[in-house]
Amino acid sequence: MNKNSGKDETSTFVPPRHWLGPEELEASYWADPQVAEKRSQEFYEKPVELIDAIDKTDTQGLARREFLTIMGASMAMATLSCARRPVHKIIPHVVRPEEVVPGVSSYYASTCKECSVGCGILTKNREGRPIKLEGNSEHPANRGALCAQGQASLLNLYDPDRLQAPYSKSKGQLSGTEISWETADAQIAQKLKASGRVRVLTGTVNSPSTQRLINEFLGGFKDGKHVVYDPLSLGEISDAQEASYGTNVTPKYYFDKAEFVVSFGADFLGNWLSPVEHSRDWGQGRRLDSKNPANAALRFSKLVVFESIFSVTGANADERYPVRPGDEYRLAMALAYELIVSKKLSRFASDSAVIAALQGYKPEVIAAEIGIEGGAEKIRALAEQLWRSRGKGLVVGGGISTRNSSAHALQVVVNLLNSALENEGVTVAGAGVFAQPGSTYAGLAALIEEMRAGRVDALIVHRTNPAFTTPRTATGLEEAMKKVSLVVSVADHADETSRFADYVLADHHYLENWGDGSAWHGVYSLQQPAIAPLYSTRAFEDTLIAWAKGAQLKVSSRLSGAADWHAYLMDCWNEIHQSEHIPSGFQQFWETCLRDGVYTAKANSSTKASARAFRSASVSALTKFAPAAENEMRLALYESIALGDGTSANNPWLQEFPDPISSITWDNYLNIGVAAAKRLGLAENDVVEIQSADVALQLPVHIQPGMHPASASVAIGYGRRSVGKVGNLAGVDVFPLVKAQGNELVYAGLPMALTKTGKFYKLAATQYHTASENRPIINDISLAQFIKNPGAVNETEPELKLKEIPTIFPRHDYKGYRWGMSIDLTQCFGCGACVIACQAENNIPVVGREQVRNSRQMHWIRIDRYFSGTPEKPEVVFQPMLCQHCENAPCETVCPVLATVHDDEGLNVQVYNRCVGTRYCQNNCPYKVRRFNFFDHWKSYEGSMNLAWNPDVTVRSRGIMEKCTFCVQRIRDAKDQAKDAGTLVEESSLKTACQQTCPTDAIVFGDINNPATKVSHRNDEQRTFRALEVLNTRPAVSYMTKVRNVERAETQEANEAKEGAHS
Amino acid sequence: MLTSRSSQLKYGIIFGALVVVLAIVGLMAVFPTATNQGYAPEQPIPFSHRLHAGQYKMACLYCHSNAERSMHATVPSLNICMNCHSIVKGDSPYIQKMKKAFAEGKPIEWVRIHELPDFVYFPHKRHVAKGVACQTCHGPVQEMDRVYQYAPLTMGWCMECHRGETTPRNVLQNVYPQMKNPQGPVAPVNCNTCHY
Amino acid sequence: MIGPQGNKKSLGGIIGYFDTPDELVTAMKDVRDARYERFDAFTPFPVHGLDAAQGLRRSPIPYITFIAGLTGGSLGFLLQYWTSAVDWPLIVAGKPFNSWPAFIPVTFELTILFAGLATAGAMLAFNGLPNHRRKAFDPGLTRDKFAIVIESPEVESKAPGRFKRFEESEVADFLRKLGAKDVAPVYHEAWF
Repeated sequence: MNKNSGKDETSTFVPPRHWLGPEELEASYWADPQVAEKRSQEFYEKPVELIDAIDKTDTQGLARREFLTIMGASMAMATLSCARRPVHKIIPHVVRPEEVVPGVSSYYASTCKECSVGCGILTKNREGRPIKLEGNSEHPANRGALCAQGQASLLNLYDPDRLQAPYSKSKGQLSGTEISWETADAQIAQKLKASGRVRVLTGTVNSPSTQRLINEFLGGFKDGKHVVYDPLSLGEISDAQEASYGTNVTPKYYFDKAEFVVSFGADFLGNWLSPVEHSRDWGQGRRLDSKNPANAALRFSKLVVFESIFSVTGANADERYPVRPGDEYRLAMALAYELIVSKKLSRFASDSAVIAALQGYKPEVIAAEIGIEGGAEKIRALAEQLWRSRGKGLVVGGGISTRNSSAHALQVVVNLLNSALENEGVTVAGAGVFAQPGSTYAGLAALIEEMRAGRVDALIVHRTNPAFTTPRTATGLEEAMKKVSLVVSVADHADETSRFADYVLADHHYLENWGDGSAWHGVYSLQQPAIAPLYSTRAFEDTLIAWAKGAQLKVSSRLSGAADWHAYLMDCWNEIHQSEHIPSGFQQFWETCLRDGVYTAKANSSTKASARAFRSASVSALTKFAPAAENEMRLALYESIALGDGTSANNPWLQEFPDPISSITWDNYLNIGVAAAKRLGLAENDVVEIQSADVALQLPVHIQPGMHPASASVAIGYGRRSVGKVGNLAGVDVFPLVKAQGNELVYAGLPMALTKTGKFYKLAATQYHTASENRPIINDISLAQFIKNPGAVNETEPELKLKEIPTIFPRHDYKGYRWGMSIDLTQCFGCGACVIACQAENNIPVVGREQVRNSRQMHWIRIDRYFSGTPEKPEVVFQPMLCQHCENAPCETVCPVLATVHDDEGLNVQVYNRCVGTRYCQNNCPYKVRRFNFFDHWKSYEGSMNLAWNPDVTVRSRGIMEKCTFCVQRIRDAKDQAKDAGTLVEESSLKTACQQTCPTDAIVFGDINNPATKVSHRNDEQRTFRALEVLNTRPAVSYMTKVRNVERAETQEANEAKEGAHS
Repeated sequence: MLTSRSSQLKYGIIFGALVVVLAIVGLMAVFPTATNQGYAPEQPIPFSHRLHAGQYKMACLYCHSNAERSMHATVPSLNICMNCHSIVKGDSPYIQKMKKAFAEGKPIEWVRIHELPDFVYFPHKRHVAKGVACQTCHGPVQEMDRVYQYAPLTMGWCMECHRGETTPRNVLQNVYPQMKNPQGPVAPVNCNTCHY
Repeated sequence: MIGPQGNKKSLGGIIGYFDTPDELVTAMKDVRDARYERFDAFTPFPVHGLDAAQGLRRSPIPYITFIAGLTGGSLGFLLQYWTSAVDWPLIVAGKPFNSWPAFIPVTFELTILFAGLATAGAMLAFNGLPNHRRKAFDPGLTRDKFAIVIESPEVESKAPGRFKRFEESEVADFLRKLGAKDVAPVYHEAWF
């Protein structure tokens, strides 16, 4: 099937249309006999390489000799010992709580606090502990979806490296002596009493009640101040909003109302502001209906992205332009210049201040210096398109990868553009805002200054880790903290910052705590504990209340009178109850809110907002035009989808989560473009030393197609020094590279010198573990093609869609339910939430970096990422690949013990106890979705982590094959409930874990025997195809071709005519 | 000698093989296969089902109420015992032991008798809903002073009922109207019915 | 009879050695015609015409092989059919329950197995093997010597009228007359 298999040497090499890495576009790659041998193997890695790994004793596998002795011993014991099983106890409750039925899950509404958004969640509790998190469909922000980090935050609760008790120590030491809460309170309260200048340093506080508590606590001091430092917070947005519109808020963006979105480095689908909400909204604008293709022309949105890294948003852009870090601002200015100065459009065309500020940013100049494909014409066309969709467009910008000295100016010009294009008030509004404005480094910088000058008596740190998330030496944080007489760290791990504390108080995990959140003004979600505290931890808020009492601070009556944080919270909500004039009593209101998880005020910000007036004075903040520096390599730091700022670096699910773009796990790496790599003589996995300012670091290289030739990027959050066994020294800490410039931290546009070290570091990437041998597994078309013919490509690619072929035996008749799934590749944007949701739901173990290198990662669903186009300007298609539950399953035929068969509802069943580990099924599966337990990976879940297992799913031991089961335990549950009610299973009551968490509803699961279900409708669409249909496996999973909003119809057909039958 | 050395060797081997075979057969007869059938361990409190369920005719579901709500039937929690025994028969040492545990908040640690391996999922709820009597699988519990495992609880034993070979008649009457295939099994026999 | 070692011995038969296979075959015909009850020939290699000369019937083993093979084949097929289509039908890769092409390997294997085992077993049974009582009393017999042995019956003959009565000296003379170069008695004990 590989048309480049060398059969016909005289034919010219035709690169594959969809490729995994840029090397596949070279003829030399296919001609290389080593490569041919490697690709001819069923699995890439030779087991011979593992012998060394096996002989080393490690926690996950037994050394061979050990294994044999244990086998021998157990055989002897089995014959000698009696045949009865060991005695087991069965221990009931003393008094069973009414709502706890062992074996039945209960759901509690709460708020996720993994990031600063505060999506509403439901915790699925079993016997008093949460085992799965799901989005709360009532919450208007995430509406039932939950991102990968949110799904993984469950495991943080059971982290065995969590702090389990408070302790006191001396500054600079990592460990100390354990003390009791009473002792800690007494000592600290005494010291606070004597303190006048107290600072509370926290991360973003998205809880109105917690914020109020902090404020009231600090009110009891002579000079109390709350400083917020969150490296991921985009304070430049709210600062610019203040300058441009007079309101210091983070605005609300309505991606569902936007038909044309231009992003200057804003990864709004990945981790910019509120990604779940944004992706949910954005997905609404990308829906297609084969029956009404023309409608798509009216409604299908278009996304144009300019970025210096390769983000998930860029991967989903219809047009993506790689730029250098820091260029985003110049492009935005060029666009504004084109719109306002050249074309004289919008009301700012006559605004002299604006025109003056824009001077010099001519599109020709900017496009030339950056190297935009299409040059100035592109910018002009863009301006035109934006103007045509004024009032229905949206310009966004910002993010860590754009953070340099022009970060604030970038936001101002974005505001300018939105106001000019009349988007303000429609697709971006100041009325609907996050509860808190963003924060910048300025606050922390001032605090450091104060501390250094000795003007701070006490510092309380909570949920922020500046000793890791700032360039330590440059900011002088450590010396400054040493000068504060009392430093208390309220944290859940002994992190880098708590090293410089006198007291480290163990904090609750958010699932053990009360609280609330506010995704935007008027939306209040409640957070309630899903489990009694596992250890001797205490909520931060309870700690403040205890100190307020202990130090006898003069605080408000609400604080001094509060019995505890729960009572204080209820008090705050009582105010909501009053202000909203709710007719029922407070207790009923409170219980309703606890049940629903969220309360939306009548006057909240989704209601129509009016456009704010743009203050031209803000344009004075715009930096004047100056010619750009020459094209040397510049570095951008970015936050990865998996780790963010590294707070959850000890979470093995997140560490093993393959990056959507590079598919690399467990490490960070330097992304370099193909052209730059060629120029510098770098190959994948080479280790280079980068020097920026006076910091030198060694990083492995990853060749990333689509990077600007002068651009390199690396993710922050890795290489932590004290977080736990999993996270310590995983990756390289690149925060020292951040430049501290007065009040600003610069993450983007850092000059960089690169030297090869000659070392090699094999990055654990998952994408290259399987190859589809150039069989047509995926495809994408343009919107124009879709409108002309919704079945385009599915029909023209003869091997992608199978015509009826004769079978030699009749098919089985599946009466009753028949489960199937449809995945819309236009909607799937590659966030990977489904991967972690599946891992949480199905007890999928973590295998570690070494085993991932050996292609033994265990994820049941993976996101395959295919490039198309050129290595300089690639386009991306994501394809979630899971067990296809083929009707003619190749795996079932070859199992010697029939451990895998079909059930009468269309599921391909894997019977774990029957499996003997032949692995023939994994061999035979054309999609390579079967995962084999080479080791007892479940043993790596030590101690409290065992509480995270889902009791409804068997935990697999060594020697067992496993794969996606379509969440059969959920199907069982739904059928159970339906049988109780005497009805059939309803579509809404049965969602697989991956479907449940997907923000764009890309995955739809249901009964394909029922023509009324969503999945049946999708299967009828002309866009639908099945993966590797030519093999006649008849999968139950179907995919819908990705449609891109590009003008490419003509070139598409031309290409097809040229290539003829595509292999 | 009547027999030569070589014939001695021959007889010796035959005899030895016979001994080994007898030993294996004997041991297998004496030690049951790993079904735990007949297992009747001593419990921390000698609760008598014969008294409660037999003589006083208490319903199974009164104590084991989770059997109709969940996969697990569960042993009743202490507060259910205390429903009666806070008053009834306070002089018995066992009741006093139970009251003490209840007051201290310590549960009674019963010895588990009916246990299926981890890779089997047995839903009590579905079987109770279909009308399968507790005695079908657990035997005449109302006559047991000390509970023993009545049925082998092997997969083959389960399948006999699912296939309709040993299904109680009242269950058949419940099942037949809805069955997809009247000639087929009376309950699902897919592998993932129980193994997932 | 007292044997060389001084114990009481019983005569098993008389053995006559021949030089060439042709002589053996010729002599065998006469022995056959003489209608002794038990006689046999020893040759180092199969000799043409000896079976007919000895009056041996055609072996029934092929019939046994055939029947056993049929049994095995039908057993194999029936086993698979019964388990796959009758007792516990499981859908495997969409194939019908009675997917006979998939049953071919096992059917074939069981046919061969039963046939092979039955053939070997029948061969042993018909040869009276394992026979712990009869042993090689002369190592040269299957090596380089041709011989005819006429045995004296151990038990009473079932049909005494049909066979010629065994007389030791008569048999010895008879064999010498037929051309045996060497005639010797064979004792039962020696057969061990």
